[in-house]
Amino acid sequence: MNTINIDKVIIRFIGDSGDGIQLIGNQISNTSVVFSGNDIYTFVEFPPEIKAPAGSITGVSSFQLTISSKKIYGVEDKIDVLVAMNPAALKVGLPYLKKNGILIIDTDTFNNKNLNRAKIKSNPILDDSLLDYRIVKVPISILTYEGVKDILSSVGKAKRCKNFFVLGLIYWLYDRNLSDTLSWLKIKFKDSTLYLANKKSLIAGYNYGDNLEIFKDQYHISPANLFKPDAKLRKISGNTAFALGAMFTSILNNLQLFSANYPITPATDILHELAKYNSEDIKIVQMEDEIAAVTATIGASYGGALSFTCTSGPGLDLMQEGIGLAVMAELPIVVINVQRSGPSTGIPTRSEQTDLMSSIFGGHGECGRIVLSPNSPSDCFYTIMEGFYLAVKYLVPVIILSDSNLANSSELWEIPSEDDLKKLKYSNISCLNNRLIDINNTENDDLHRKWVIPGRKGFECCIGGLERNEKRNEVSYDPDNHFLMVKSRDKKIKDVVNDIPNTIVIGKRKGDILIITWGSVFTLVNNVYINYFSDIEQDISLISLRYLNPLPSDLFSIILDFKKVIVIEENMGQLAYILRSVYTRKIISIYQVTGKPFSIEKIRTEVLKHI
Amino acid sequence: MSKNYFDSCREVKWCPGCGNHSILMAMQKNLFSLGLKNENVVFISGIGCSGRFPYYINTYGFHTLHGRAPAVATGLAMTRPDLTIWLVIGDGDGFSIGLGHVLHMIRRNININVLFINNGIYGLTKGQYSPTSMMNTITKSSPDGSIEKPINPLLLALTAGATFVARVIDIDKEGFKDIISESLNHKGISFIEVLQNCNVFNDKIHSHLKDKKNKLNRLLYLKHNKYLDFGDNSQLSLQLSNDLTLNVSENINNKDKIIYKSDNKNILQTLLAEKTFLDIPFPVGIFRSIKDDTYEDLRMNSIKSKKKIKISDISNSI
Repeated sequence: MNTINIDKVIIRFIGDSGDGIQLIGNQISNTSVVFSGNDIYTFVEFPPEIKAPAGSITGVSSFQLTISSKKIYGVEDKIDVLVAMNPAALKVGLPYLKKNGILIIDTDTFNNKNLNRAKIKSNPILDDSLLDYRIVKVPISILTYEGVKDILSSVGKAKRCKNFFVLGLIYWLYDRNLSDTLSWLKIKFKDSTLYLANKKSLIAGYNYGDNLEIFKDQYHISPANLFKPDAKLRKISGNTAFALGAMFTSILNNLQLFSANYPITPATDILHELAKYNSEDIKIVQMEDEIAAVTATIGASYGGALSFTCTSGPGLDLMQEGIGLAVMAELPIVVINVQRSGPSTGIPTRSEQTDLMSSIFGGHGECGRIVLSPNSPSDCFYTIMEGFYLAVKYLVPVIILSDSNLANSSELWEIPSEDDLKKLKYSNISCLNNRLIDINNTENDDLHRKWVIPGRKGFECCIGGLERNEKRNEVSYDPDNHFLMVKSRDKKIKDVVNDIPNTIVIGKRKGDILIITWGSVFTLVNNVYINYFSDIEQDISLISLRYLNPLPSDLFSIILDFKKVIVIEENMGQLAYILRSVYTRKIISIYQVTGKPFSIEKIRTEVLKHI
Repeated sequence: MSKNYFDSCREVKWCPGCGNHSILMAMQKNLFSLGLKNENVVFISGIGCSGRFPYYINTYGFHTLHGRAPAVATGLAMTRPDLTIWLVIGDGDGFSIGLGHVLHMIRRNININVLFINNGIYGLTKGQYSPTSMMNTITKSSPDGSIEKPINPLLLALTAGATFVARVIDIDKEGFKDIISESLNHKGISFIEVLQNCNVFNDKIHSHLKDKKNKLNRLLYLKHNKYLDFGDNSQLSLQLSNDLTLNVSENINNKDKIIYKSDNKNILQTLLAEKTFLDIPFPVGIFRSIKDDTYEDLRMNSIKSKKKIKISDISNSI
């Protein structure tokens, strides 16, 4: 047996939704960060059902993990290792496996019952259909049961430890340290039999790899050294990053944080993360529906708290009237929309970018709002900070467009120190004595009506959804005044461009082809850009568009400097449509709406058609 | 009398003769005489005739969305326990489009005073039947008379666990005085139903209760620890029968009478709430006023850390 040094491996675990696939995926991810110092990127897919029918194609849950000694650019479509816990998992995962990739299967599950459920006619472990792969046949179920039967007498319970057997096997194959997972098991299960059984399975899997020489080689992935040795590194998902960003903003500014939410896939984890920190000045509440969530958020904002709510497409639809009230009453709120497949219930656990139009143009009347989009899981942290800053400065609602891929993917992130955060322009929110104040209170400013939070003597007034007089805080139905107010609210949004930094162009500032992406699609395109486009003779440049409304003021001049402009997005071409109408330029649109991220191959071939 | 600082001095745009005028006067007068500070009071309303209330009272005010005012008030109350919050809702606003929010606000026992103005009609949309309209009400949307049974808001509030429930008729100044001051003293949700006369679209539905000669024979003023007596000379009394129905008896001995309790939850409260304003007697006053933990009390008891959370606390825990 040899130990071979490799730069990168992409492993995909697939099993039933009750097999504990997400759990072991998270364990190896954490271990790879904490002990091996690697860069990681995770990507998950799971069915909307809690425990979908065992063995069925639609019931499988996947966890894909990239481990590397170098910086990783997002998720990739081809994998090096497939761990298939049953025939359905094999059928779902095999198209992703590279030729000559490692295929680990639980042979015990390849019985007629499971083959029928997966609609596989010929048993692939008996025929020659898997010859293209390095197949590793392991009777995982039986080995797990034999190992723990003295601890757990029930066969059903014993078999539930098989995810840790598989994890042990992979830990051996990729030279991972067991101790982090062992201490996690101890915390999770205390001294129970489940602790002993899972621990035994993990070690048994590891030893199985070590002793039986089922693999020719063991692989080692060197530390990535992307960060300073003393950096505080964590694996962070987009949803966790939003929660942290909101809490950090409130603490930095000594502001009360309020978040009213209604559970909805795939945004709910933000609520879960926030709820852990419920305390005197972090107030997290679960409301009765999304309408109540957004209006309670508005109520808290009116009182001077830093307020936001999190939802997904169906929730955004319900919140539109409330967002309109925040526009009219000129109150700062942030709405995070973790986009999912639609319309209606759509595919709740799948990702799309189909809410761009409804975020920018939603709501009746001239109802402008700021729309931002982060482009990586850790970027969600900074985007919500910036969202709060802009909402309070311009007294408008801000919608942040995340998506299911950003929400559930995770990457390595250095937790910024308090000092580093204070250096960020947008970490400083206008406030006084634990409450927001009107930033323009003392200035002669015609941007908006003065906003005074309740409690200040002599400023008592009534605000609301009715049109107001341009000068005084009184209801007005005057037609000229209404037009003035519509223009004034519109100007506030347009003026946000003054707070938008120069657009970052990856590649030359002038050239043949400009690719524009936004949200989670950026990392995919960037991966193709770095790995496949470097030797193309034409000048190709790339933009990740963070400011979707208003658009950056320099974007038009950048677009003019390229012969072709291509927008790549996971909808029917919504951003391309907007850019065409705003700039009246020809915009090429590359799009798909499958609920799955673009494949590297599709991006590559589609872009190459225009070169 | 000195100037009432709760008068916003704006032109009041409700129809002449509308019951809201007397409700507004009662509110302005009582907040003033109770010595509240204008800047610490907030009126939040939804949409409808009742929605205009905040414009006419000199406090902070927020005129919000149809049906959603309870949620706006909830967000404000959760973050600003220092304020006195009044929520003004109507029967269409609070018990049609906003019914869900009203019940959730009540069950959370948030410290909000609810002024529920019930006139049994949609006024601002020019007269359609509402969820509290009586059967057979003839309106533009029910020209043959409405065929929907009305909802009973007071009963819903009681069964949702409201800790303070009261009812008053729009012109009853004395009734308002007691109820407003008790409501402000109460910690948690206070639900006050005001029977309001819409003289344009649903006139005189309660007029028999307002008639000076007749009202003592029709109205039962509920008082804690008092008998359920009514009538010109308090000669009539409500008695609970063996079959759990309420019946009127005359001239019975005090020792045989029921003593009303508003400081706990009891079946008498819900039986009385079942009465419609065509029944004799029709109960008004404070149905229930009980001490219970508010949302804020429970939240502070439940949170693990009483200290302010620092950035390092979060950094170390993820």
